[in-house]
Amino acid sequence: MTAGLPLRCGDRTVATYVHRPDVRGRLSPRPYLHPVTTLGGATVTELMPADHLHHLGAGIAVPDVAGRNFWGGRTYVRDQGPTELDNHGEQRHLRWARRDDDGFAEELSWTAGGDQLLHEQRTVRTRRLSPTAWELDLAFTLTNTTAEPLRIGSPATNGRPGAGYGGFFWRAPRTGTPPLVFTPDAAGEDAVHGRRADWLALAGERWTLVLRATDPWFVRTREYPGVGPALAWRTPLTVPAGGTLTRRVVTAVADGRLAPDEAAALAARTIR
Amino acid sequence: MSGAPAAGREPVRVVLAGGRGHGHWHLDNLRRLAARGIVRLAGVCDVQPLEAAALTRLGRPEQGADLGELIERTGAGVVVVCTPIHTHTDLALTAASRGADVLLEKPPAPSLAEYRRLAAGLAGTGRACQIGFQSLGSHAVTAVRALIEDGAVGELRGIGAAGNWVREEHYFTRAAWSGRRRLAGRDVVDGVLTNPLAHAVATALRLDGSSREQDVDSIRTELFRAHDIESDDTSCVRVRTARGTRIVVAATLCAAAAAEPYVVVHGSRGRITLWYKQDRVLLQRAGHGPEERVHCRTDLLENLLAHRAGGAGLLVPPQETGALMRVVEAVRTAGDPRPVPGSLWHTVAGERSHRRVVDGVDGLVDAAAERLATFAELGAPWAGAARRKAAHR
Repeated sequence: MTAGLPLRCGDRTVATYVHRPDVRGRLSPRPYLHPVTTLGGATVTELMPADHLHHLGAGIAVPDVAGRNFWGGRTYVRDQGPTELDNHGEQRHLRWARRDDDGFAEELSWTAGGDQLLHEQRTVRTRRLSPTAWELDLAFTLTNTTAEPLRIGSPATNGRPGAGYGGFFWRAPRTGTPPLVFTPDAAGEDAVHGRRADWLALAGERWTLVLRATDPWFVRTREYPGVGPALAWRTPLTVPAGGTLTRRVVTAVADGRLAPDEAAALAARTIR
Repeated sequence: MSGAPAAGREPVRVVLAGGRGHGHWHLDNLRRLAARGIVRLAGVCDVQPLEAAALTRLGRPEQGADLGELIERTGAGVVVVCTPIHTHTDLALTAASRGADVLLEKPPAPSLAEYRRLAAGLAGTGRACQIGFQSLGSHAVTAVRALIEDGAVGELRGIGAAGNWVREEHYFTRAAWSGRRRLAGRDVVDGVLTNPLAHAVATALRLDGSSREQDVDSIRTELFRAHDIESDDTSCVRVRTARGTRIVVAATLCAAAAAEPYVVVHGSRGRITLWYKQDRVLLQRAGHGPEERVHCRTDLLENLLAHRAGGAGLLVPPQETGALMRVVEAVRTAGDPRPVPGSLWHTVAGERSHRRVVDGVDGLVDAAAERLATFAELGAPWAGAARRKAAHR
């Protein structure tokens, strides 16, 4: 079940896409990328860490789709806090529309309680940027297949300020000291968390991720290393019946700890 | 929150029944809570009054040998019962019938019948009763349970527990009921699995989510003794729970070296070790480095007080010890523990008296938890007859 699809970049396997994961329902089963490695072989994702077992490498996870939990674990309930609810959803692989060595196009179904809420088209492609860096280009389109508008929220929109996570999310492995985080004009978790920026770099001791997306950045480095652009940072997002929502995130995966000017140069080489 | 100061609220009046021996632990805990203004020690019930030195910073509580009378006299709202096992049921019911909530030391009762009488009697009073398995207040237990349920170590293969402790000979003569299975016609069941290391049994059962009486399917015991006692000091129990988990707990008071007791969860993709006295969890999984974490713990008396105040669920109500009581009952009704032959144990000098060490027991206790096998199955030389006996069953 867990055997995944290897993704290659030139002559290297740089990621494995696990499209039929062996994951308990409470963790909101969904396909994920893990391990993802640098060209030099350093692993840059973490799977089911003890601190948050529902963190599954790099993938798409949303804590609140019409009240259903596609993130995993407990649900933040207004005036109540994190609460154990039986409301978990699942992203199910339906079929490959295309499969190549360097990427794929996939159709998925987001279901909860037996009902499909969303249909997804996901595309992933790898591309070499330099002898020490490659990029992961991931795009997804969610289509509301119900007859009602679908509200996409986050703990932040449900009453926990700052916890706006949800969407593309990258859980990185812990390193000796917390990784550095910076954008073109700010540095440090507190300075970049919740802001928009053309790119955001997460720099560990042996690797650096440079992510590009348009939504505000959700950033953790002290508690655990994890970043992602947030779909519903402050206000819920509503997808009308039959409507769609599209996002694209490009992540440069580089060996070594890049300095801000190196990260900026790498960001400029990405496909966006 | 249990940690919040009780601003503007009267301290809860507490009576401690049994202030000696393990009662000292409760006196320390009461001192801690009294300093925060949460409780006031209103009375101490013991056959002999406690000396003033034991009551430092606890004021001048009333003293008496009649618990019911003492509760009436002090108007206590909570009673802590830390008395010999065979007195637990009567004293807990006395307290509850006088309108007090109860923190009852473990094990709650010496037999299943007494436990059921306790549970039924409590239900009639409507008072709360917390059973003093402190390890079950550990957030580590909740964390390990979540790891298992979320599949962190794959499919559950079984749960082992190991307790290598040392006790000197005076431990077995410290009270009339020490090391006894029965006393003056009453069940006591002061064995290694049912009293000193009952936490290992209770914690293993809870990690399986099998704490209630009906959660146990079958039980097999192997009871031995190196000391000249009626009860057992080196024992092993295998429980099959209703959900199909095999649990093996091995424990001794005759180890060569004292070790931190632990429960180990075996999964198809890894293992979790919980050192329950330290609230320490080690997670070892395929594809991951080892992850270790120390958790905090909720004090069971504080939890009982928070429950009284209306804010919290009880962590260890009597029904959550029903499975442990099934094990107590199995030990109680088992044949007498078999002596370890004198050639298989030796004596070493202890701090206050001598202690007996069963040859090779430390490794066998660990192996039982690791391989989910009993002493007889592991070929313990002093357990050979049990293997033949089991084969004839």
